[in-house]
Amino acid sequence: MANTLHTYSHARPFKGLNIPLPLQSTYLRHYANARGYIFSLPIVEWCIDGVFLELFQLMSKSCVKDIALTSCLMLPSPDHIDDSFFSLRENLRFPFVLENQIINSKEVKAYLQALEETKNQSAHYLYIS
Amino acid sequence: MKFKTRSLCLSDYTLIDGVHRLFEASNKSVLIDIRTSLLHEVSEYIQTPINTLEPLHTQIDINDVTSIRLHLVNFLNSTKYNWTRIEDLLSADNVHHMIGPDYLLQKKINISIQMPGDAASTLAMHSDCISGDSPWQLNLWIPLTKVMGTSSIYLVSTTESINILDKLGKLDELNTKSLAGYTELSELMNACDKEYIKEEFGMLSIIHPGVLHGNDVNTTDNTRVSLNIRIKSIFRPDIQKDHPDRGVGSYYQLSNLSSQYLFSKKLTKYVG
Repeated sequence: MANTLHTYSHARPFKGLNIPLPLQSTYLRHYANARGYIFSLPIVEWCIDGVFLELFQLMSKSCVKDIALTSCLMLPSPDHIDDSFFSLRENLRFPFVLENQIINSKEVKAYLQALEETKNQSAHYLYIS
Repeated sequence: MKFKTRSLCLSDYTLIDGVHRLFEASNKSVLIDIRTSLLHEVSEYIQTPINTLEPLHTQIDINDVTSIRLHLVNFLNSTKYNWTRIEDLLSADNVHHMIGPDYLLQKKINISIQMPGDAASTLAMHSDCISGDSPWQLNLWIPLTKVMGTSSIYLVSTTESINILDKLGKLDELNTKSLAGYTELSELMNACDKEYIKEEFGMLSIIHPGVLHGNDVNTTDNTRVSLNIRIKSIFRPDIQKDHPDRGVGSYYQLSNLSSQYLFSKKLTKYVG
């Protein structure tokens, strides 16, 4: 039987992006359909900057195995969240649609850190004269 | 100077004062028509005739809920229905008393289906204002089935709602954005008193969008099918954040403009 793809979206801007909720929903639904998942409607995060309560609650649900996001950029910055946050459930998978990646919860923080480092290097490169 | 507050007294029944009012639909035939149409759509979708929505879970697989729901959302928001007249559900007197005669209506009506035992469809405690809805709008919640207990939604008191929001806002300053911080907050939310809305078909609730609410796993024998839509006075503010997808055009549409509004607008060209 097909797995349910639980989905998560942001109404607030994230890392300079502000994607309308209906677009995020459509994008996530197409992703679910294309991969044979049962689509579950997105949970919308609180619009208070830096708060990830809905993500936490979604991760806490024992029936949840996959949480898809439009982009990994919606997740808390690695230096902004305690190590324990993503270790809540070891067998969770995070499909990031924009990045076309599926990352296990154990590896999410390292993945975000690697992206952050690369981004910083690229940003600094611009200022090399 | 001390101002007196005046209760709206529009309805005899409120679950929580200030955030909820229960009404009889002013035109029940509108609801009967919607329910009949939805029964017809579901019957066609599952290729089995059904006469009531409450036993929907005996006819469809729990994994098909989202696809059926999306099908019904698209159907309701097609040209079959004209949702620009909220007075079809609430009397004009009530609407005007609450938000005045000049108001916006959400462009799309939403439908929820909560089948018994469906843990995936539960919504954790939240406030609609968290995703950019204006705290100055009103939410109409319209069950098409009899709802009570866990087949319904619950509301949390205004005091507890503010308490939770206050703690949430302090997550940053307390530097508790850890598992422990969120666990503590979740425990606090779980400890809140939940008041479940009880309604019969033909009734509807007006709910404050800011109040914390949610739903639990439906442990009753009935599926809940409900509609929700938002109305907002033109003269009431949006939330003080940048939420372009909650604007007029994308989220709201003009619904009703009074003759006074139209004359005033013309007049401002000369005297404004």
